[in-house]
Amino acid sequence: MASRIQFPYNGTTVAVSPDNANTTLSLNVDGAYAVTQSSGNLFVHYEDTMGAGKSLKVELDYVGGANAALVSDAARLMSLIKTVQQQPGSCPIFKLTDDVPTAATPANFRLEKQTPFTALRGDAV
Amino acid sequence: MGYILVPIDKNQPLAVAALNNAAKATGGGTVTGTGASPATAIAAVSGSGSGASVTVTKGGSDSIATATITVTVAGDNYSIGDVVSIPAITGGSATKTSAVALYTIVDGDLVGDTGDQTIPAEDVLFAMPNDDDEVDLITRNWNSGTGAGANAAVTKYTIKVTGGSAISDEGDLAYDADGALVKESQGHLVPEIVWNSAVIDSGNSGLSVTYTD
Repeated sequence: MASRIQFPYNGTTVAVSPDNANTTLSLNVDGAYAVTQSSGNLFVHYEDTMGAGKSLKVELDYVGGANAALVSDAARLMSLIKTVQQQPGSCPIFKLTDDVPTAATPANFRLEKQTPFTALRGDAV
Repeated sequence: MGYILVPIDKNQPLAVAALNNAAKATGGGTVTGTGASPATAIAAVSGSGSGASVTVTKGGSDSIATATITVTVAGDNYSIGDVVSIPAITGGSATKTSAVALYTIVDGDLVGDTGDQTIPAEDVLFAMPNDDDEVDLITRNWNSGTGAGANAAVTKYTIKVTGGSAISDEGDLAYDADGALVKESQGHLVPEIVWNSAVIDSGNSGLSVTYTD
């Protein structure tokens, strides 16, 4: 069983049917050991080596600009990852601190499909 | 190691070719004439297949069991074991039958791979919505790539829906796949991806899985 965390996903770039709007997609966090924040996005770092001194990381690409994901969100996500790694099957949902939809800005801080939806790279750590 | 199950070819057409189990066809009354009959729509007696048409060509006797039954229109959603009926063929100047014939679909009558496929879920990091009626299951397996482009250095499974009408809601495919991944993480044994109505109602066939390294 993989350890997974669910993230709100609002596929406005690649459409979803109304039945599935504002639901979640999940990320396998087995082997994740760190989370960093940059430009409003979060990066989950894995222990998997990718060759040439690089390791695996997954970008959680949020809409909402540079302030979408905060540094404190990275810390909260890392804390949640540690919890989930000890409780496989729990599959909690992680939301950003500022993910409080209002009538004026509904679903503003959900994961958005870019091209690609999420970048996966063997970047140096 | 946990797995998820990808249903393949749920909406499966018949192969446009001679059916393979004609020797065990029943009914049909007396078969007369020469050459291929006019194309005739067949009906489902069991199963949910629809839309296919066949011709009947008289064989060595007046029994349907010696005739050749050839699919001319593939139809959709047939399965092995389905029984279909061929109405009496009374028109035209070629082969005719005097009664309804029954035929049981066998392996080889259907197009494509009829088997489901499993994917090792623990290697899959996430399901990525993709254009072109696809969902990519991105893995953590390094493929020796060193490019800076997204996903350049990892392998992926691509589940593609083909045939029928285009899927306008590719995000739904990712949700469907993700649903099975979540179930697997919660201890379900080989959960199957349950495709949403946008896939089922689109008339799509030939769900295929490819592994790209």
